Amino acid sequence: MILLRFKGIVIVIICIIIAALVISINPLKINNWERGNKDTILGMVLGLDLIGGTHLVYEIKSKTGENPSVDDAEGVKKIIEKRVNEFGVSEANVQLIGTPPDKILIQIPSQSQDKITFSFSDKDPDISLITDKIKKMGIEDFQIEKVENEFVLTFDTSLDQKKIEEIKDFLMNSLEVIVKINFSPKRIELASGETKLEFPNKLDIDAVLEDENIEYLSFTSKEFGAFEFTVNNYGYDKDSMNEKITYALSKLDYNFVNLQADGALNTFVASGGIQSAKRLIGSTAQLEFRIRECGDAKPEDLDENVWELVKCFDPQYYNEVATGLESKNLTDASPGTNAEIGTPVVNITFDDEGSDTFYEVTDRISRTGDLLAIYLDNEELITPGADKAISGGRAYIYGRDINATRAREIAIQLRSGALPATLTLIQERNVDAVLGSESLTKSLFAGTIGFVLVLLFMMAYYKVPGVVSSLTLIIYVVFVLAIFKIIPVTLTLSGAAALILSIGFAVDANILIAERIKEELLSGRNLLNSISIGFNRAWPSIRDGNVSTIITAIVLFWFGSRFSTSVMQGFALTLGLGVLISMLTSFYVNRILIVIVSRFNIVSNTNLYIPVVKKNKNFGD
Amino acid sequence: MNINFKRLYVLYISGFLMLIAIILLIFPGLPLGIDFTSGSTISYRWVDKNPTQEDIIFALKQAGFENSIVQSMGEKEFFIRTSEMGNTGKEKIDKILLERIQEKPITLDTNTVGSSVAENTIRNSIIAVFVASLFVMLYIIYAFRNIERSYLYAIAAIITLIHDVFLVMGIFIILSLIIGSQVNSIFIVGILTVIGYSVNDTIVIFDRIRENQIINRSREFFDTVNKSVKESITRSLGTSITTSTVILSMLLFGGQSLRDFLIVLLLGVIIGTYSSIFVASNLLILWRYGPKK
Repeated sequence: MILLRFKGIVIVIICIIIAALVISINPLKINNWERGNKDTILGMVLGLDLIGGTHLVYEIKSKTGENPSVDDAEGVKKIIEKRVNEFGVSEANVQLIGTPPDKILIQIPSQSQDKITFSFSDKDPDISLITDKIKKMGIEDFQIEKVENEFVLTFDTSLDQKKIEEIKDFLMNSLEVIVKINFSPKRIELASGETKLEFPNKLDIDAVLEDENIEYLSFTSKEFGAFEFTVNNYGYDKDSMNEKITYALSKLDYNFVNLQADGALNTFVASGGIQSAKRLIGSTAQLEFRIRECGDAKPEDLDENVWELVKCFDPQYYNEVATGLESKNLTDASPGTNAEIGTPVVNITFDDEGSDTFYEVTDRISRTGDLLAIYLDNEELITPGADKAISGGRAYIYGRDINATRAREIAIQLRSGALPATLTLIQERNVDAVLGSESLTKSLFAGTIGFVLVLLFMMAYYKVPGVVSSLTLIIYVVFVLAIFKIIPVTLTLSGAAALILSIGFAVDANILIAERIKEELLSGRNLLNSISIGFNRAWPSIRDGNVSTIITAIVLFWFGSRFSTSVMQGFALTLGLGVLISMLTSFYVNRILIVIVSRFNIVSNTNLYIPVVKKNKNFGD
Repeated sequence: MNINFKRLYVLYISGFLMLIAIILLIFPGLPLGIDFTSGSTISYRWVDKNPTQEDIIFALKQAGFENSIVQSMGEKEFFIRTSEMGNTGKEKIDKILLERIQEKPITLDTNTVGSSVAENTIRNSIIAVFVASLFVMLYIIYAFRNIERSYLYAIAAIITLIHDVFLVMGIFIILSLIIGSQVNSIFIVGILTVIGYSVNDTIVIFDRIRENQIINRSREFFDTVNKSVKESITRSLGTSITTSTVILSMLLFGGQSLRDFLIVLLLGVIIGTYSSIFVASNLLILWRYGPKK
């Protein structure tokens, strides 16, 4: 029995230490997993009403560039509400502006820090070069670190779109890239009967590069047809230098066997709350499938190898036709990782009509050797081929810029449906909390005072069980905050209400227990028995009350998510979790503590367990 | 002490109060705030003076726009959402702001905006609460399966819950006429909190009745209920006093922006405690003995 209690107290203490660490360390970081925010109280995620946020105004234009119809504007509002909600931005404020509406106002609570993740294809450039450049752009507070083969830039303040473009532009265009090429020699039969190997010389290459307006910074000629030259603007870009160089070199009489570039920007993803939110909101999310008919007429002067490279990828040779397969043909989209290709993907499921079309399209390209070109908002994602017709209506999409975060965003966008109109960001500002930060600080202070009063009342009235209960209540609050931070639960006013209610429940459970112990003592039992029976008798009441509330919370949460009523959802989530934790702590932790405390002689006097001392034989000793 | 001796009176009073609440809900009805209606937005900027949020809220109040939302957008700039104000309203606000802050604000833009909460939110909430109540009833029937006619306990708990919600809404409407409280999306949360509190409070007393019935099956049901209510009254009061302490201290010393919400919570706790002691158990007795006893 004592051993059991001992084990119990050890577990409780370990839990308390972990919980205390979780709420005190900001930001909390384990590998890629990160929680907590430096700027808020205890690092909790706070909603728009409790903390300020970003105020975005978008102009709505119909696809043809005119003012949107009222239906389209309403449609935009619905889809955006769905997107920000699914993204986990609890209780964003979305309102249409104007009569008839032609703008939309979106306020989203402050988010985690902005991040830019990028990687290079071969060799990484000097890190200090990048740091210097960003400092020159007037951004001071940021950290740069290398995680596996990716660079991660973390900014303390939110970046606007212009700054992001500037950084991307710098990484893409201003860092020097060394391009290496190897040519296969031409065999020339000499009169003497010997074979001589001939390689192109610097002048030859110079000439073709100049023809295509490719400027290089330096040029080295190595032995046996190997050359190295440095250029800017390599990779990443759509009409990248890669294609230009390939095309230029194909004009030479020599076949090249190898073309590689060091340090070309390979991936670039801006993430973090506001960036993600803006991407989520701003894009129409029009997914399109086109058949790309590869070129079939090879120009005379083009090398066969080069032709194979460009016939399906150079816009001047291929032709694209629409398939009629679009976002509206999707029934589901979810982020995932594909085992075969090992990268994050978005899994999509077509409806019946879409499945049929997809089958026909894949059937066709599997026979012609053409490609399927997949576009999201007119940006090319991937251009896969097909070995055979695909039935069942399932597919996945991926692309160079799609990492796990982006895959999730795209899935949310596709699920919420394509916007019926286009949005242009016209205003981006920071705003203060809806409830006013001053007013909130005051309320928080008042709430704390109230809580302390409750503890004092418990201790004064219920004596020893009251003291233990107060301790339990404090432990409960620590547990709840730690769990809310780990999940993370966005704390809004409705969440705070649920929290107050769950504290009320915790108090209630403690009072129930204390009252029961009192009754058992008054009926003449000894202390340990009274405690044990008191707890057992209090349990059904605690259980029934709490379980009913948890049932209510589950139903409200379900309805909240179905009708995207985030007020209800936030309340239900906080209440359900809060009450569950309250039930467990006020029963088990409380019990362990009080049994241990009651073993000390100084507090073994039963009067210390009875609120209002009645005149009984123990009185006065 | 027999706290149930006037039970019919208590039930009559509660029924009467509920009737009044229902009438108030029909007319004048819940005062819908700007979350549910379309309204106007203004962005103001000052060049020299640096007004506080309180200054702006004060000016809006004076101009008759009591339930406005004011957010500061960095230094000296404010974004305001009010009910529909029209030109005269705007002029009035401008004038009062000039008097109070001693500098004419620059109006960056004004717009009309649609509601921020979908119209069907209230309807959806009612459906959600209805479904939740059904599940809670099923749970009570299950938890009380050892005693006869456990469904009566479930029905009594739900009637008590409805009683609490109507009374809170009724009093809120009266308050809105006096101090201008309004229903915003947070009001829904307040009502949900009241529901949670009410169900818990009722169930704790019913639990006691269940326990006493099992301990002594031969005791008259009337006496069992009486004994149970008496035994749990300290707990009921203890819990409601502690919960109200927190709410009251926030109401008295906290910021103004939470006032209406805290009022709903406080009403909920008081009415919830009253009803669990007087309404819920008396309903059980009424159903067992009929109105005569």
